[in-house]
Amino acid sequence: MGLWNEVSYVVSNAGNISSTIFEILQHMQPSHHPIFNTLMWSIWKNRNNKVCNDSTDTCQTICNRATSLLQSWTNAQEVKQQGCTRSTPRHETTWTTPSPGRYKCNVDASFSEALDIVGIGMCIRDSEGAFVLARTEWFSPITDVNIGEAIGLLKAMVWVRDLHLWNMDFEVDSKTVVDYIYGKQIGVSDFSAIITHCVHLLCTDLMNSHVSFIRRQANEVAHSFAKAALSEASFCDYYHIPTCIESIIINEMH
Amino acid sequence: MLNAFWWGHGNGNRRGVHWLSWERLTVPKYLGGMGFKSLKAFNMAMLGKQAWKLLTHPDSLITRLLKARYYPSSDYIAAKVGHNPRFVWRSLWSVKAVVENGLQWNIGSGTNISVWNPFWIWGNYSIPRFADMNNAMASLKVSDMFVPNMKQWHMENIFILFDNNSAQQISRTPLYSSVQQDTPMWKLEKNGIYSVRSSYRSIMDNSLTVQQHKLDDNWKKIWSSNVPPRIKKFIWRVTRGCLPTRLRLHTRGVVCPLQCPFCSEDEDSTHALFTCPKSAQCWQ
Repeated sequence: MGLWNEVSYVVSNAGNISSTIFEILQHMQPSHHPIFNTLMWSIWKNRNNKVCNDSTDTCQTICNRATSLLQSWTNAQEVKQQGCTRSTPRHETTWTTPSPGRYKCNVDASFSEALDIVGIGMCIRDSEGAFVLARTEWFSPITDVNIGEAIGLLKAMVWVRDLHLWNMDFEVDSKTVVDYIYGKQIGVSDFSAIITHCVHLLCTDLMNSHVSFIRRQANEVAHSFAKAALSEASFCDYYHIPTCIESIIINEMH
Repeated sequence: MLNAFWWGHGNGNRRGVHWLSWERLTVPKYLGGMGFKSLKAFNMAMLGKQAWKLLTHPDSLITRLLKARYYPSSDYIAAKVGHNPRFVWRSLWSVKAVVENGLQWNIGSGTNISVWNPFWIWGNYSIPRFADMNNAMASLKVSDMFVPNMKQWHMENIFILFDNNSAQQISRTPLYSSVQQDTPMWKLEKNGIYSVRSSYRSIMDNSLTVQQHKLDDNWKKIWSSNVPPRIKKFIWRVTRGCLPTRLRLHTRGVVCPLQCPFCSEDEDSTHALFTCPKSAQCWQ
């Protein structure tokens, strides 16, 4: 099997069996874990066969049994997974421009334990991907991650409403927040109260807007902007491209 | 009985060897158990849900009934078990610690929460009561510490009223203008609604049997491994030292030879799986 090198070193200075196995798993390449586990099982099966039925397999048979069991199981799992993954939509890892006539607002929150504050960055761009407006804010004290993201979105919504920009696509990188906004669940927590507030805004003033989830890689503008927010004064509006995100915006225009 | 089902594979009336106690099996999988439901803890989690309703549904018939009988002038948290209680109340009362563990007040208007209520400050902190308190102090509400007409802490007042540590803890408690009403929330779930699942987990995490029997190894490596479930269970058995090798069988009083079936050495787990020449050959 060719695993002896990785196994023998640990076994030779053996402690008890459980520390031996954990140590082997610790040092072994993760890709070898399945076959290592299966082979142990196969060796033990051979030992039981010998004790109960007095039949002995060759090493070749033991190894083959392990590999073929593992192979057929992995194949079956793959078939099963193919059925499932088709239905879930793929999320892009790059930022895309909104459809013509619409604006897009990226929001993110960042957390600083040391300063005990949560920074929020929001950036509006038009259908060409060109910079329109941006704002940073922060508040104290530090909160739970989900609450921070939800407050970020809420502040962005209030801001957009006051700007009278009705056709807005909001993008956040917190799946939880988006799921709760479009989910049916009603809760009683402070997190739920903030989400309900967001939903209320979406149903009244921001009828033409919606919120969607994007991956963190695609939300880089808001992410680095939220980080910058930590070192700014509480409110900052930007009418020109701030230097800290200039290169990202220009990159994403193409 | 459950344990006998898990281990007992003997024919007819023979009892299998119980390699691990039931308590050890109820330890969560990531701490080295099998993650079986501990019925006692599960019952507590479900009772907790009923007790939770006493807090969240103050107008329901059962709440009013129990309140009238057992805690007319206080609330569920402050209630005593009382004299000659019904079984129902005794059960509900016995899970108070479970409820307290997940209770957090949402500060809405702040007019309904007493400052001395221990569950509104973030992070399990309660303000120590003063030794001699006048009536005005005793009836202080959370809303009395806001800046008038705003939802913000009035830090100057807070520092005058309380000791430094308490004031600091209060200032770390966030206030959200989106929250309108003072409501109890279950802090172990994001949506604030009591769930038996989260409650069971927290009971188990705090339980003494789990603290005693847990093993801090990297069990995730085993359970998340990409192999058939029976292999995972086998590896788990090996690492918990309940592989029926001949040495192990001997310690449990089974009469059998001690030698490995293939060579003449004594057979323990390490020998059977790795160091026996036959096994070593397979690894090469």
